[in-house]
Amino acid sequence: MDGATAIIKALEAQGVEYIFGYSGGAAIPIFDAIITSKTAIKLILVRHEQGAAHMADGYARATGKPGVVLVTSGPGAGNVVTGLMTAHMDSVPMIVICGQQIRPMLGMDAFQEADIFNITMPVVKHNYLARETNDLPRIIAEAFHLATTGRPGPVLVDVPKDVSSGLFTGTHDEPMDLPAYTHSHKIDHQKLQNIATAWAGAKRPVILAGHGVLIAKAGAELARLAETMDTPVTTTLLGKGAFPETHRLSLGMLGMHGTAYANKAVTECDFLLNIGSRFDDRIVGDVSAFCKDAFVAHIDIDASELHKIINAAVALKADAKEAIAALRQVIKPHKHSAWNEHLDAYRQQFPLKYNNGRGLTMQHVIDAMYKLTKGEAIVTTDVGQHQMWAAQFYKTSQPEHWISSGGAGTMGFGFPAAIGAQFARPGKTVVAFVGDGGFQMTLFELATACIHKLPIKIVVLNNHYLGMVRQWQELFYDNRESGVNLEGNPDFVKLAEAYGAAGISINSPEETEAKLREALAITDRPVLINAEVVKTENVFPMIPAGAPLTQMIIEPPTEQLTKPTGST
Amino acid sequence: MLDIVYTLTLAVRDQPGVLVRVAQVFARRGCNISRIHVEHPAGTAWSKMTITVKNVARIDQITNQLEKLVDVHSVTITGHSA
Repeated sequence: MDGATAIIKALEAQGVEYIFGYSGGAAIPIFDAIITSKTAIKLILVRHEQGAAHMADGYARATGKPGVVLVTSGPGAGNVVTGLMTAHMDSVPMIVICGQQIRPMLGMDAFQEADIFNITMPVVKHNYLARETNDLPRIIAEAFHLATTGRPGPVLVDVPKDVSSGLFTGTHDEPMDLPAYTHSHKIDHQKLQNIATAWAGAKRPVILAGHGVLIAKAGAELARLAETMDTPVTTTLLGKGAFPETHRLSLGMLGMHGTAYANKAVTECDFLLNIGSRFDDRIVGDVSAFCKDAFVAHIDIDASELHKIINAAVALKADAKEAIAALRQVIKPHKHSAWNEHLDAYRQQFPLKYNNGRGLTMQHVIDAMYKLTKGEAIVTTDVGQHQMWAAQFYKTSQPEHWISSGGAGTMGFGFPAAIGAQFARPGKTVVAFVGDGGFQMTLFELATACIHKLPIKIVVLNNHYLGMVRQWQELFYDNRESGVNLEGNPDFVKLAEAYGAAGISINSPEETEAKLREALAITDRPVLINAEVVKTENVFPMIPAGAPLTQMIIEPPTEQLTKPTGST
Repeated sequence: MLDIVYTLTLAVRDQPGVLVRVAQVFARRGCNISRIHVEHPAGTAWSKMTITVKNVARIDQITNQLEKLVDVHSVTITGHSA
């Protein structure tokens, strides 16, 4: 057996179903072993390595299991860097195996040699350059262990071609060798007691649920905790699905484009329990003003997130599920009727809204899709205006049903992520909401989706603009448009048909429902829906970057705003 | 004004790339390393890195990020004015 076959055996031992890959010289032995080992693992041949990484990411977010990528050296490995960064920022488990030049040529500028080990160091949880064939099973086992334990993340394994084609004489069950890595921890019960005591005395408590709740698969426990304490729950963008957005206690999403009532609740609260969110700048705004007078408790599995942005009164390193279970042992049920009625009034006064007065809007298309799919589809998005409207209008009520690039904000993510999610969940309706800008960054994966007859609904919300940047230019840069006009887009319907997908266009609010029904009825191939929407709609509510939540803009402003100073 | 000098002592795995991983944590946060010493004492399990930095705004954050590295076993820190 060669090293490449040992890699495939190691992947089988981890229960891998799919490899998203693209070959090249240095990876030939590993691709060959996929055939010669007669493995049941299915190779999905993509059209670009970035597509492979986002597919693996979508697969991971739809299942909680790591996605696996196999690419060649040099440009092949270089093309996965954006995918690694995306997964790393959002704590997604992923294994990337790269071919590499043979060992004697490393550092010699050989053909397709890239020092991907050093290039990727800041965008992975850990990485390896395999130097001995017999080390491969142990390295693969360690990579999966690291990717899936503690705070998950991507792990890259670089495999020189002479290592993968070398004779394997080792054992397949060599123990892991990670003496410096610890992910287990004891919960500090005194801290839990402090949280319970503060909560018991609170008049206006709020729970903030982040991606950590979903990663820990603690959604059901969170719902029971919130109900016991009659405490409203807001989530981050990535926390969508951690708590049903249809629940009476749900405030929806917090932050820059969150709901007015979530932002008002967090502004007015006297107790904030953050479970599994890292207080990203998109939800905090002005750090010095955030929950200034509230008791803030922060639970995170990653100790380096505690006190990083917000100095919490109680900061607890813990797995979300274990922490919630332990917290439920020490709390006593409370009623917060007055507070919840107060927030209900905000829900009535400041609902999420849109109007089609100027023509078809993205919000309308998303809202119609939400209703037609009964909110049960797995939704992926790209990044920008459509992403925020999808977050607002496609309510998420189950874990692993909202897949969006949060931390990295990677355009081009949504469509390949939908492919990964559809492979993971073949029976589910998967909807990719993408903009015309982002879609063009990875649309070549239409080939992959068509070859496998994946019935993904690709909704291109086409305003012929990089809409979010145009919005900032309108609001903060005297409406000077620079580098945002995408006139010259292809005919997306014809493009889809050229690949073998179905193509449908929507041009008015009146025809939206019928056209979406038509799209949802197609189940034997991908369908692309091109929605020609109003070009200059803006996303509200909006909190300018770095501003306190109290400076939320709910209605379109009538005067020029000053340039934001916070974040980007 | 006196400089605040921190000395960090790390126990790390003796593997290629460890120094890069550690150095990246400092560089990303705009922190200049003024002195560094690495050795692997015979008969011990860990390499020892001794790193001296001055006037770091968020040394706690750097320490936390270092401890998070898979190849870093422990970080101890001492600080003094000089």
